[in-house]
Amino acid sequence: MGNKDVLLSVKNLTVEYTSEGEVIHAVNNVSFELEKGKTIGLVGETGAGKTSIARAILRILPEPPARVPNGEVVFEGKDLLKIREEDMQKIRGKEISMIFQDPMTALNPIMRVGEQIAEVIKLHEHCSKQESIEKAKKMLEMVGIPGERFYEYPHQFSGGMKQRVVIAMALACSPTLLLADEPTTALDVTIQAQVLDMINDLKQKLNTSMIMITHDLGIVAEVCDTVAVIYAGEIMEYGTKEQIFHNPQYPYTIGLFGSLPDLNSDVERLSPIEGLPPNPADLPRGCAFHPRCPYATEECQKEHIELKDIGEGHLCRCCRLQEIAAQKAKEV
Amino acid sequence: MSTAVNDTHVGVRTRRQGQLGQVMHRLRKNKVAMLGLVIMLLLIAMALLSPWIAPYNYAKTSKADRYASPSWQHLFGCDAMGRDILSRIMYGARASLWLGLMSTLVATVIGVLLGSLVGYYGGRVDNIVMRILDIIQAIPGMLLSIAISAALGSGIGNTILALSIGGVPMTVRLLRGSILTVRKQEYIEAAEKINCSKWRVITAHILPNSIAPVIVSVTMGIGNTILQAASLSYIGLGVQPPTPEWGAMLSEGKSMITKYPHLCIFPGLAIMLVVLCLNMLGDGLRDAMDPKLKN
Amino acid sequence: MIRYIGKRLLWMIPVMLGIAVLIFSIMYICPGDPAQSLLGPSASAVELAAKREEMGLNDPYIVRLGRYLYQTFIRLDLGTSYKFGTSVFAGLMERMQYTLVIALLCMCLQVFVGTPLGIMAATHHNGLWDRISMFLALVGVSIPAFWLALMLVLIFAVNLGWLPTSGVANGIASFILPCIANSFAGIASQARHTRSSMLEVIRSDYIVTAKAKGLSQKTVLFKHALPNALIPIITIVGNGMGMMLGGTVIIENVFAIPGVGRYMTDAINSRDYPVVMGGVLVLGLIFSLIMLLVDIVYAFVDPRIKAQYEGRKGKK
Repeated sequence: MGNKDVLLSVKNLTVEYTSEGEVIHAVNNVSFELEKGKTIGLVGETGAGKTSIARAILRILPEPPARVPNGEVVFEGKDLLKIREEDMQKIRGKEISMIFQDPMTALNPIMRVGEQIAEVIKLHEHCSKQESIEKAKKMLEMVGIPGERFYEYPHQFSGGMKQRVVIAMALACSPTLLLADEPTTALDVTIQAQVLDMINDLKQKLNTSMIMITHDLGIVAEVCDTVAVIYAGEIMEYGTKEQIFHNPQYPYTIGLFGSLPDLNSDVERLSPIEGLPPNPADLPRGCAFHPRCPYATEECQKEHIELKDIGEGHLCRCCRLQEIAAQKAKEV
Repeated sequence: MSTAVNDTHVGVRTRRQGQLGQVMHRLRKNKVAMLGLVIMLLLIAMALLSPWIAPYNYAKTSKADRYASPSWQHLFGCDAMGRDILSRIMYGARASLWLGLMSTLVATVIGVLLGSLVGYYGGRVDNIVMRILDIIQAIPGMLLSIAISAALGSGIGNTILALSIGGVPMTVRLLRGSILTVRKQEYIEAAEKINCSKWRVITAHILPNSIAPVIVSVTMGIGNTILQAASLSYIGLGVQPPTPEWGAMLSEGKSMITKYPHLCIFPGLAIMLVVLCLNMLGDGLRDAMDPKLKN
Repeated sequence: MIRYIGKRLLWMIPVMLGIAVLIFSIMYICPGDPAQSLLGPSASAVELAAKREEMGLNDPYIVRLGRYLYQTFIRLDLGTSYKFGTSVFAGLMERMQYTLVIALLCMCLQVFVGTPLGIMAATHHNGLWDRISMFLALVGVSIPAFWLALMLVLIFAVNLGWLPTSGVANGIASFILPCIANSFAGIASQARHTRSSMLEVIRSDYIVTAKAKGLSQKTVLFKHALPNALIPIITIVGNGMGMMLGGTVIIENVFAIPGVGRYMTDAINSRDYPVVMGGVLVLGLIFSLIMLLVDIVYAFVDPRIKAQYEGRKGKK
């Protein structure tokens, strides 16, 4: 543990939204670290708070309704939540950049595609307009789009190609940290694989660290080094990819794996997790997952459960792990 | 089981009922809209009760009181023929509100029917009707009303007709747009359904989808129509004396404005108050029905 | 692009014909006898019958319509004024300058005052400036223009004596009050629409993208948000022109400006139908040309629309 080269350290990050008098607790005391050159996966259902975490890091949350009442985001020695806006603007797009979920709406519809890439280059690399155009064309080539298409508009591209433009834009200034918010969710399955490969490729070439937000465990398996399972704005389980995939402990995590259809077995029905995700304006007491947990008891409803280290950095937020393990052993 | 219910998981029908409640709740919280609604209701009450609560008979002339300035006996003063302006304004509210309401209603009914027909049948009917509407919209609303009103002559009935024709194209487009959107979605299901239920599906789903913009458009429309009606009366069309329509009152008082400004100030304020309240209410309705616009 | 403009220009022809047909049909139901109005009350029955025959008033609707269209578009003859006996067309043309000047000045006021107000309200969303200016705008769209005109005259011309009460004798000063009165509602409406368009655009995903690139607030606002927000406003501006043209009819009456509007309102009072209808027709035609211009500007400004008519390049 001592030789870690930590690039990003998030501590107790909390994000709230105020809407029509209600307070929505989107992110609740989330903490994690990311080493240089590694990829962490933030896994969870839609609405679990994953996007809010990424946007909080980059400080692009919509500031009325959203609020960051406490937390620390230490990046290369600075707490991003406390630096001035002008300094944050120097970091955005250059040191940390983001790939968004919906490529159809992520680009300015009345601005040429190449110009949108050149814009970020010219801003951060302090080069001439001509140079930024050249570099932008090179970025387009790198993501597999002919350079001449610099002058075209977003509506002239398909969804997959638009996403590639977004990736080109995000990687144009060789960022140290890449935040990828479900970059392939809105794409066809065949295109998904292409785009994922491209992200991986570029990531390795430029040695970029990455936070990959997804609800797709397949993507986690391909791309991530560590995984944090997020539910109701909290990290419920955290560990390396191997730990989570081979030895999932938190009932929700187990449920996620269980709900995946298995090609090898003959099953008539899918086995989803019972129930619905909680209302973030009105979270359950105690463990946020207890209403849906097949192993829940009264103990789970009493107090908020803390993360426990269950060995070699594998963290889990369940208070009944040993009882559950014993129960399972009996069932076998 | 989770006690909290997540919006996106609830079925369509329950969501719609909840939506109406949500809309009313949001509207009630909007103070400006509520103020507009309250004042509007008071004005309507005043208009309806005017024969009983007006201080004087609106047609009663009095040589002695000609051009009388505002006083305790005549709060808004008297006009060129000694008639009490406050009473005339109260009675005139009937003409203005009736004109505004009926014209907008007629335009909306015609528009909804026409829009439904056009949306349902589509094709050639759609093309022809839309081209005709394009031509009607090619003439600015005020000018069209002037032309029709000049042709038909003054009077309440004729003015209602003149004012309503200009409002039809917009309502038709609203309806037609909603129908086209819904049709695109329903076709997926329509493939599995029998043809006759397609119509029922459309009518069952169009109403909640298109009723919101129609309501907003009607509320704002009444305000605009009242302005247009007053303008028509002002230039000698529309409704003329002895009916105490506010625009006509302004026209009467215009020549003596330098000496007796009160002849013009009060009728104009009345018009402005009514239209303002309607617009406040219309804005509130629009915001309540589309929360996206609020924050 | 040329194809698009050409297509739109071609479309103008049926629209203009349609407007004329509509106006003619409205005129058809006008009360009164044109022959009587031209010859005066002292004409005999025989003279009237002869005049009616001469004017072709006994022909069926279609024939009269055809004659009307021919007269209007080919011979540019909009009939003769009942009151003055002069050519309606000539009468309109000699007064058109004043009406156009007022309408243009009002448009400038609407665009250059209303738009910045709307932008400022949107950027100070829910702040004091936003609430105040939007309430004033709400009042602005509720004020009857002719009443505002009378009040302005009362305050600035009569009581303060700063500006003339009527006429066009004082150069630019004559146009100040008429333009303010006529454009007030338009400025208010422009501010409201610009604000809501800006608010909607500011919430878009591509604005978040722009911010995530590290662009400054100003750049995000003026380079990314504003151009997108102004596109739907172009239609508002076009419609505003229509309202201005309609409004000048009333305003010219208040300020005794010798424009087309005054010509028409006087004609209304004297039942001079050819003048009224001729005026509506001409102003309607001008308005449809303006809407054509709006469509063309749209195509230039919004690449998505441009692409629809460019064919080859527009493929995904």
